[in-house]
Amino acid sequence: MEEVQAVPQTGTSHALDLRFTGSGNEYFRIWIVNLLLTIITLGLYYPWARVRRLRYFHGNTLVGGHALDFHGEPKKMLRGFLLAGALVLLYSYAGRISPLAGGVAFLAVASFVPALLWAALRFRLANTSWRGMRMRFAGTIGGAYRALAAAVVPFALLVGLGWLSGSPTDDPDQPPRTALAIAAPLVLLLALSLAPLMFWLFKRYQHGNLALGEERSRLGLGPGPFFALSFKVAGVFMLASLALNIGPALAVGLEDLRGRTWALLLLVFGYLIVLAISGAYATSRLQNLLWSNTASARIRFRSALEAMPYIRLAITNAVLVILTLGFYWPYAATATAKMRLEAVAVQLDVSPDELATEWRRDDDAAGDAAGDLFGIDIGF
Amino acid sequence: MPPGLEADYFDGRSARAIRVSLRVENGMLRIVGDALDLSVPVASVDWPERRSRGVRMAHLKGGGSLHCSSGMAWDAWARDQGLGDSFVVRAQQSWRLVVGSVAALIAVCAAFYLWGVPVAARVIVGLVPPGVDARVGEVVLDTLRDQELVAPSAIEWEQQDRIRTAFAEAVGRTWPPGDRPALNLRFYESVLGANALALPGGTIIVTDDMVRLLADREDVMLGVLAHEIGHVRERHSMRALVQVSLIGAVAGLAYGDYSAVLAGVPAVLGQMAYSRDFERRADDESIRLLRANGISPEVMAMLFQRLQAESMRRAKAAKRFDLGIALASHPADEERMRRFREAAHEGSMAR
Repeated sequence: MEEVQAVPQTGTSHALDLRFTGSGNEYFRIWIVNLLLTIITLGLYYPWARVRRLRYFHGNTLVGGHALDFHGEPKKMLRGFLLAGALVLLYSYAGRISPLAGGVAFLAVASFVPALLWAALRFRLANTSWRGMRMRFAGTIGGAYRALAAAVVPFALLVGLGWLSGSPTDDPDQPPRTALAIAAPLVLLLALSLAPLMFWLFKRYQHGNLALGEERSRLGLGPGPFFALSFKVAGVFMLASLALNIGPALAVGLEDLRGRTWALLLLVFGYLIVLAISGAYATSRLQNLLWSNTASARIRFRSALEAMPYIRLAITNAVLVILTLGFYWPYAATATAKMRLEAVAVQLDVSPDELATEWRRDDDAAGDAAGDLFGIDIGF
Repeated sequence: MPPGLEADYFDGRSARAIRVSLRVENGMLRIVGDALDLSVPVASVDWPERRSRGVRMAHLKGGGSLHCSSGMAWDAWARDQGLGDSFVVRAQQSWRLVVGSVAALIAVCAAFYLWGVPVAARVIVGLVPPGVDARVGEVVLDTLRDQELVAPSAIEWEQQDRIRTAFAEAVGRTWPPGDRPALNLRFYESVLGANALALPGGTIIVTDDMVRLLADREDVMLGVLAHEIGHVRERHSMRALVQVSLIGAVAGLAYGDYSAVLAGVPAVLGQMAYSRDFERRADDESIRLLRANGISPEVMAMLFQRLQAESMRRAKAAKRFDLGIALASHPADEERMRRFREAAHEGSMAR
């Protein structure tokens, strides 16, 4: 934070820092009341709870002293949730009837996914404002399909494999099985090694289409760093697993039943901590990578989220959430938001007020609520 | 006239703030500032909710908004103008109501867990056509085979047939023809040890070890099979599936944002508790069949004694962790033995 403010405001460069003013105590009260309402209404209240939560987090995020705002309407969001819920139900029910129905449902849902992502991105940004100005997601629906097209190849192969292995062959020596046994790991390996590339394609689409007024962002980053990061994350995961889980894993082989039970519990607990560590490492590095390379003509971002403090926070949060059976979650959420948001700074090449007069001419920004049509909101 | 509230007005088209003064007159909100005089119906404004700190932002129709950086000044002004809080907002700002919400949440979860989930599962399973059970059963059996948990049986055909015939006759004496469950008994050699499993759709798997364990006691074997028939008749496996899904869905709603792994834990714990109830119901069916065939339910004590002896032997020999799936691994053996014994006494008194 200090570094950012120390940036000399030479010429027309203006640094805006991010501050998060939400408190765990207050969010706990909002969370618990809305959770209760959501549960006793069998989930129907969820959009109202979600709007309240987003307004709380947006309203407590100050960019250059001005809070973000969320404009989504719960009634429209309910429609989106019901639609998404119906899709999920349809999909899981079809899979239980027959593999064929499951396959058809999978293809149907998969062909909708890019459109849903596009609608969700559009909805979220169109309903977020800063200084009274709505943001925009400028990506096209075709762009979403192009960004996710690469994911189709390994998915199609996996589904094909699933189909083959799903067909009843009572004779285990039949050749298709053997071919399958060789092909399956190869396809998985292919899918795994392509994952960073697919992720990059999606992020390029997402971060390359953020818009406010005339400004439109792009992601100045190739796929290389994503591959490097995925290796590092895998390394952190393995190191953390070795350090935390090898003791309990060996102890599971104990003779004594009590000792074995405890070892098993420790193993599960350790696994959750390993997930927290590697997840926090990935999140912090990814946030820096993405936001430090996202810029528009006159707006640049810089993210300097340090990995170690963020990992420490993630471990504390995980332990306390587990020990309190989830009741610590609102405190964890606000502390996480504070650390992540306050690591980001925005650099404007003109003064905000100067930009304001130019934005005035832009008519599109005010009422771009096309995303409202679907009201679909998926968290990113 | 009282002084109006100072706030910033944004027209939604530019990021420039206009300093305004707010006042409510005759159901209209009047917004007055530099070269600006707006009047909008109070009811058309999307008012902010009261919080303990932070800015207040009100949304106007048409994209405009009002921002006030002093939450306290805004709340005091809103109160003076007669703009009340909703009940939810009052609840959110009162620790007493929050503590009440925590208590209510725990009560709702407990009720959902104790009554809601089992009842909902029964209703949902009632709506699922029985053909689905058979399909799920096949998948489970395929999985058991694929993972080599079961292998072709080494029990001689005659002995298998003897058990099948005896069981079919015993079932015939217990349930009237219309109510009689379809029988599909299969024998497998298995690493599960002495065990019997009821799959969705009615297939009952008996392991070779179980047949050997009770080779000299056909009466006890009938009790074991009747227990599994109890699971089949009440579609316990399907209900368990639905129950896990239901708890998972609710836990996902509460904790899903935080950790999907953590959200799965309640489903697993919940299932462990429900399965005890299923075992009791299945034991009731077992008692019913034993009585209908003139066998004292007390013979089932033999099963538990032999299973305990065997599991101790196996633990010594293999040092392996038992796969807790079916009959042999039920924890409350003592309680179940007592039930069979009590049933035997009731039966003898009735006779």
